[in-house]
Amino acid sequence: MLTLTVLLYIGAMGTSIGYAFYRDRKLEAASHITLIAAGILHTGLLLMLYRRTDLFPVFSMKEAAFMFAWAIAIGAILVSSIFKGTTPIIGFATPLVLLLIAASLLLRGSAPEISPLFNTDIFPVHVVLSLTSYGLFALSFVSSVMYVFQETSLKHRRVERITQWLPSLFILDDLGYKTLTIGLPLLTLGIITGALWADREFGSYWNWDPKETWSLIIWLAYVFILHGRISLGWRGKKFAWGSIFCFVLVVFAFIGVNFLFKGYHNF
Amino acid sequence: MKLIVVGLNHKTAPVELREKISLTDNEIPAVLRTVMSSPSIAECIVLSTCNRIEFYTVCEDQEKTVDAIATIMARDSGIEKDALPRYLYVHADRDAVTHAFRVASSLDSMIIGEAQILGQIKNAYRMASHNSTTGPILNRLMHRAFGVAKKVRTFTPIGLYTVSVSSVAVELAKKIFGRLSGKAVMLMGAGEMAEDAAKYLKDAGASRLIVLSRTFGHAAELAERLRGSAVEFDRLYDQLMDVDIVVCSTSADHYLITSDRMAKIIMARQHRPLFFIDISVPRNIEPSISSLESVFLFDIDDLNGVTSKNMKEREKAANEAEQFIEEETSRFVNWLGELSLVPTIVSLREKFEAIRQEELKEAITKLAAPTKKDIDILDGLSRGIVNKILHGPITEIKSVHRRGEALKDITLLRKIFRI
Repeated sequence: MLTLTVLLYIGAMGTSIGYAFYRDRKLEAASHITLIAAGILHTGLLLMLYRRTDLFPVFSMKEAAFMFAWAIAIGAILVSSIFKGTTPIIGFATPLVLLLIAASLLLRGSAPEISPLFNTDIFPVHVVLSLTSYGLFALSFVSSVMYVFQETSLKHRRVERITQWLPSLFILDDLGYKTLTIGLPLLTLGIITGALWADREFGSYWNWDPKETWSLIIWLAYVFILHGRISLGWRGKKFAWGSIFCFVLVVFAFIGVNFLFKGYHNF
Repeated sequence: MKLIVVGLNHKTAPVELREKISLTDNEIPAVLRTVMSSPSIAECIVLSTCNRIEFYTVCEDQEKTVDAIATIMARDSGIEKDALPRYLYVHADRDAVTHAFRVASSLDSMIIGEAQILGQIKNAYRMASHNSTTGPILNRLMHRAFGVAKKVRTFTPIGLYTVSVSSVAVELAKKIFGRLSGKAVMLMGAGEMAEDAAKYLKDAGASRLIVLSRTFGHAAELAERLRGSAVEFDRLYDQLMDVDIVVCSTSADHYLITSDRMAKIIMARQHRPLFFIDISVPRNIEPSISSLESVFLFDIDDLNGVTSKNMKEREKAANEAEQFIEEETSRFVNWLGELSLVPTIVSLREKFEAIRQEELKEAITKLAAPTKKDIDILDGLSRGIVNKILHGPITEIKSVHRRGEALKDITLLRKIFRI
């Protein structure tokens, strides 16, 4: 089932890229349908993990990467279904999904001992909120990359090829912004629930664990670019680059921090 | 019965001639009536667009029909009838079907793949059927033609590539702004092409149109025509604060919009995107403004480059479409052939039935005291014999027909049975 899911994601990516080159409507539809199928299987896999252990499958880096991938995929499905003409996002989002699944598979198989610390009600909520916000940031990143792509092609007047295929700058800009306006509150809640959990377990809300510090940095970075957009009119290219930069921070906070620093976060 | 198309188009006749012959929607009903008054013609549709005037007919006699149509064309246009034939083309049967399908699919258009022709044919068909000048053959031909056109549009990328400067401008605007509703267009100068582009943008949903011209009178007149508002030329930079799309085509010999001033404006606009189309030669907008953030500038060469490239793509798509048309034509011609088979089969049956009735009557009179039962037996017997005899030939002729060798065999059949 996992293999099939991965194959479907590859299929969605392939057809979406094929659509970019051949602009055949059938390929566009195919990429959308394959992605939905992959998303359903992916959800099924998560549910199976949940039923096996009766725990939210979010206790190791391996599982978190898998869930992160899921959040991106579901987000891409929602976006491409809701906003007209945004199916090319599939071609950009699926590589991220596949990378995360690959990372999840490469990481050590057995989950670390689940310390009773984690086995509380609030912990899964903290993780799911944080990962969903990461998923939304990823989508914002993807639309920003597409924005930069489309913007460059318009600036260089390479109109004949790319403009037909990518969504309009307006939609991409809007998408990059809207995903952040949902993602940021979720991250905020994720941090708050994390703090509540930390208080219960360690007796203090904030312990300057590297992950905590980095979450705060990410939070500030996103607040910064959103603020710039709303009050200073940083839209378009500036905002797109901002979102891209912030997502690099997210990736670092998600993976890099664990390798460089030692903290009580498993991921 | 023959299916004939008589007409002329942009390839066979110059525009001066087409103008004279073309018909308005109001004139068409009368023309349809005149055509139908010719005894040879059973069905008729008249299609008149700026690029073609065509008569689709079902008739008995090709020559008489062509002559009747030429007479009508000459009468209404004041052109010598003898001068007409070299501009006309006549397609019969299979060729007529192919032609109808190609026209509906926009393969025969001046701009291949343009979408208007289908609507125009539908309109022509509607007028003909309102005037009851269509019958089973043209009805089916038209419905198939609409089907083929739809198929061509769905399965080939023929309509995907925009080929006019104005429509490229609209495409680009959509790629920047998404939807054009709520957007303001500013038209500078009054070239024909710029006017056309502005009109296209407005049709595509742009809500506001502002016209600027060196002479305010021109601007006012143009604004009136395009239902926009005219503005004094020296308020150019004020306007640049508000508008989203600028179409420029003035005859000035220097830059009217410079990079320096634009840089300040774009700051004040809070980076709301601004889309410039400069189709004036020499150019009136400083090219370096395109390095400013949120400013997109295209000049006439950019747009022309796109259109000629896209034209080639459309031609490629058209080749694909020809295959669909080939298949559909064969299917239609088959149906047409079967239709022509029907009268033969009917008269064959009628002939046999007549013989049967005759012999049956005679047999009954020869019987001394025929009971109802006797008559039934005789009736059943004769009917059985006739049906069994006819079964072979009718099945055969249908299958021969499907292989496309019908005509000779039908003639033979008619000879043998003297029908």
